[in-house]
Amino acid sequence: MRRKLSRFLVSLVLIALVVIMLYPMYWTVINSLKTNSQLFNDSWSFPKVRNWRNYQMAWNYGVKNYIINSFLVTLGTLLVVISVGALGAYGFSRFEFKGKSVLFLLVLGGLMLSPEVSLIPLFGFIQNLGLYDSHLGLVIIYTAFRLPFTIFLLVSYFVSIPHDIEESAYIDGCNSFQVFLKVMLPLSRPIIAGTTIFQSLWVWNEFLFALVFLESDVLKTIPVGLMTFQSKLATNWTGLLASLVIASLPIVTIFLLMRKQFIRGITLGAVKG
Amino acid sequence: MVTIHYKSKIAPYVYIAPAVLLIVVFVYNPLVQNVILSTFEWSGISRDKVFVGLENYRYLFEYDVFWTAFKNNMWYAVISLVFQVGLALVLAAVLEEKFFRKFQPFLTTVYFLPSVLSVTIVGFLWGFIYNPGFGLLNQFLRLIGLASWAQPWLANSKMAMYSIIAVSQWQYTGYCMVFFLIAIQNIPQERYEAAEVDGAGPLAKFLHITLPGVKEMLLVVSIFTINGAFRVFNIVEVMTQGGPNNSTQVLGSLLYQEAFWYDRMGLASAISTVIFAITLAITIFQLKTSRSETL
Repeated sequence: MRRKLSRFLVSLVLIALVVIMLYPMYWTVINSLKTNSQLFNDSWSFPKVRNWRNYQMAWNYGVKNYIINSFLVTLGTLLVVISVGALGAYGFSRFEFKGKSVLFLLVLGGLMLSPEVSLIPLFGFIQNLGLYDSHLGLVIIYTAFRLPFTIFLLVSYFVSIPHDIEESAYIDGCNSFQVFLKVMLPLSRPIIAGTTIFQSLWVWNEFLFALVFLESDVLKTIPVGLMTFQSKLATNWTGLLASLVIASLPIVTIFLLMRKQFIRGITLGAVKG
Repeated sequence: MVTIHYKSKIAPYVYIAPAVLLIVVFVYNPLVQNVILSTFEWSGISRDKVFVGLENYRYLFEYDVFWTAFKNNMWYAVISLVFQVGLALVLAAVLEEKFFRKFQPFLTTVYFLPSVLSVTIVGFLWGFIYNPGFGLLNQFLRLIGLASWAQPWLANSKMAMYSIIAVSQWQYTGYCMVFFLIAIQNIPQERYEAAEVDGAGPLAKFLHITLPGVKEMLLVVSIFTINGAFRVFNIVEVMTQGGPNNSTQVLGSLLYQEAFWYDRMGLASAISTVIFAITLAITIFQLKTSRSETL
């Protein structure tokens, strides 16, 4: 009896949490289909007439652009961070060389350094390099800051790959770069997929660097673009709600479709470490 | 092991060079420069820098807003520990109970969902919930007869910081829970079975098996929660920009504003260095603790 009661109470708490997590999202969706005055008068009910104009407006007046920008920056960063990271991890895990442990410590030390700490000198540095207000500048900085973790994850996977397949590739006359391409990369697909998911989420949602290093509205990524969009909209609240829904859709869809891989990707580092 | 790998002495350097260079140039170099720049008084507009020694730090430690920000970061850390570590762990333990396990995939998905959204989206969303006019929270309080609690959450300098901290708990409790789920799943099932044979209830099992079993993960999640609390910036920038009356200022937002609103770059660099020192101290503490445990 006591067991049943406590089970019932715990279930109530779990359900309450489900409501707390989902209701705000549901509320956003239903109100994004209303007009401002409907929002003020009755924000609880499901809209009888669905007003898609908010969506058209949000999409055409900026959100489309922000999504494209986020997509470009995320894709660019991933390409560079995964290839540079995989090469680095290959070097660290498969070769003996002078200074290896110092250099590896240097790379791992980067794990402790947060973007905030380098922000101000980077601001000047990026301007001097002519990379201010460009996607390339963001991609380079994102890459540099995500490399330590990428290398950490890849090295811990690479060392678990047995050497014999490589040996036979070498005997077949491959050089070390061909071994990397033909042996290491194909064997590391799972960790590369996991790292990709982890890093995409980080890059897609990055805020501080994007805020400081991008100036033109046409270049902005979603997290900072929405800030500009909000001030442009002034008091068109339901328009802003629509823009939030559109901006959430890509990542929420990917998450719901690949829930398992997604969570595995996010938790990679902690499981290893 | 066969020695074919050593054939080329240059190859390994070629492989690691791009990564090492990028990290040194864009991560370490600005860090060192930041420490140096914090001893100068300078602005972003002019090129002149005046060496002032530790003056920026002295100013900072006598600056009341700095202490408000520091206190807010501390609250952020404490409250986050309660929810993102404490509650998240309890939730994970509950979802691993036999009865609740069949709901685990659904509940994990729902609880984790807010963490995939960008902080900007979450910040705006909760701005709507806290809105004094049509906001969900005040309407809900009126509905359940607590109308006197209704208030302009983000405009009240006593409540604003807690309102913001609450949003982060909403966003990240489920995220942290996932880490504990994995840790609990790694505890050998026999331990639980043996305890059940001895007649242990859920609480006893939690205290004597789950808690010791997830000790390491507990440390890892606590550290990244505390670290995150001292680096928080986005949510404040989106929801209140440190206001009203600096009541929601955190070190991150203060750093940003001193640099990019007031152009006091030296002071901003000093704040950066303080954030660096705090997070470094936390990390060293973590390394020390985890090492002493393995010895």
